[in-house]
Amino acid sequence: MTRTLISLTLRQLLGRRRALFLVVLALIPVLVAILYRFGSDHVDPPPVEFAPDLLDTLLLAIVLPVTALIFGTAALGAEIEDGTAVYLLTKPIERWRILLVKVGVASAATIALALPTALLTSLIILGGDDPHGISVGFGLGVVVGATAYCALFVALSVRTSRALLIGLAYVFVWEAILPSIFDGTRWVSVRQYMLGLADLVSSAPASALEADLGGGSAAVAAALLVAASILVGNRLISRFEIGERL
Amino acid sequence: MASAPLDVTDTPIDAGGGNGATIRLQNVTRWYGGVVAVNDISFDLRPGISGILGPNGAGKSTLLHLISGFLQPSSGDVSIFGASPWGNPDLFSRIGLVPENEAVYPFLSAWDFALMSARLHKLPNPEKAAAQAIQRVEMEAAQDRKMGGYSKGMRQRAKIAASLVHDPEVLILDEPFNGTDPRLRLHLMEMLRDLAAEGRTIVFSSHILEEVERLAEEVLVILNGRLAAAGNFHQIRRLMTDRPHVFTLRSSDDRLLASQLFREPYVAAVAINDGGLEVRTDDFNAFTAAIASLTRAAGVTLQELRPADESLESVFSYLVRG
Repeated sequence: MTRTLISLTLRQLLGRRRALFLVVLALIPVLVAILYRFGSDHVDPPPVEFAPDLLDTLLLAIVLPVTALIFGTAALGAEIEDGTAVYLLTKPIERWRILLVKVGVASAATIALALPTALLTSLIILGGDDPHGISVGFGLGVVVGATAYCALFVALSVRTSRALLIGLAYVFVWEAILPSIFDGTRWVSVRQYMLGLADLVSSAPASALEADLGGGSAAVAAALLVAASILVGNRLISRFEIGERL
Repeated sequence: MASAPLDVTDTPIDAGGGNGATIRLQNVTRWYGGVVAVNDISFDLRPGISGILGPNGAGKSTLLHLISGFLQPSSGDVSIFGASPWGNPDLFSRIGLVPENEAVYPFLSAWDFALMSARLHKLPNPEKAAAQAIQRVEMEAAQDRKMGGYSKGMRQRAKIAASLVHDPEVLILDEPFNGTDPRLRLHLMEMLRDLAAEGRTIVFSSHILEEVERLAEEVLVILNGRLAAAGNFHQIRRLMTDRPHVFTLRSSDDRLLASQLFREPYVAAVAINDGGLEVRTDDFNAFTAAIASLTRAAGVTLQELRPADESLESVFSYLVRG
């Protein structure tokens, strides 16, 4: 039964045009890494500074959240939107199980695109030599970040049909602009959790990777966000009423 | 407008317990903000076919969503097999729902869809169950084509197959004949009769009087969220046809025609207004059979004749007035 749910969700998420767009998006950091590797003198900035800077600016700030947003809102919200969710919700399946599968599949699909990007990008820039553990640090950040974003966006999409818009505002306003103005927003920023974890695992120079949250705090905050999103999402889908979504 | 429903059932609607009802609503009301969509409705449904009849926006879908657990009553109780369907997905092992929304998974074939439903119902032999459901709606020839390319009627059949895959005891269908051609409609009606004959409780909604007339043994007439009438269809229908009918006429000499009409025993009232004549008759058949010869005999040319109150809503309004 769970396998059927997973298979259905994968087929929903991996439509040809959507998948092509996200693959192209995920390739952008890799292409920039190739340009750096074969088109610069590797002196200014040096690879050990350029890799974390590029991964943060392109992968963590744009590619990963956009991918998670598209998969997260499509996994269940799109079904609610077009009415096909009824076919799942009229089955004798606990609603929390449906929610967990949707979050799990959206996270796995996001990781499947973003993790190779993180590893390839760092390894290309660093020429395969990564003594600071930058690829592992960002890899961990990607796995945790994809899960947190997807849990958040799946829950949001059960609540509102404007999840995509709200998600974009969260990524490009809340996470990108507000932390530089209001210090407290870092506690509710998946991007800061990812940077904190990358910083915890890698020993990249502080000039290239400076996280606003400590690794431990980032891990706890990410876990809390995932748990809260799943709890709220479960409550929303368990009390789902046809035609009642905002 | 009367508040109590017109009950014309042979055996009165039983609101009590232990009467074999599979679906029971007791004083159910549902509000959307400040708007009441379903207002203090009570009824019991037993095995057989029940039709919920009402114009668009009357509250039929809201009622079916309350029955299927997709809406929580603002007040009152809904139960199926004695349990509340709200927040109770386990009940879906005994219920099949065919929603009005024609959306289907466009990337799945009807076979995939039925098989997926069977697997999600955790059936021991999902392939066999899917094959039987597909056969029941006669979709074998198209079962391997993607549903994205299906006509409205084929989608409807695929949805019904998926809802039947677990052999439910209760089948709920929201406007099941929308978009179906006459042949398919006949086939679906025959299928629903067979399913009911096997002891299932089938409840469907429709805004088409004739669909309900042909299929339902019990009828619930919904108007403005209220239960306007309930019971055996033929008695409700008789009430509908026996009611005074209103016609609007225009002729070359309205006053002369009005004076002729006054003499006829089946004409209850005639009014002259700007648009012509408004005639009320107690005998629909006698009036429509006689009007042509009557105008000819009076030397008047009939320019327009149309029923003024034939809409379903006017029929319902009449029922509500009782």
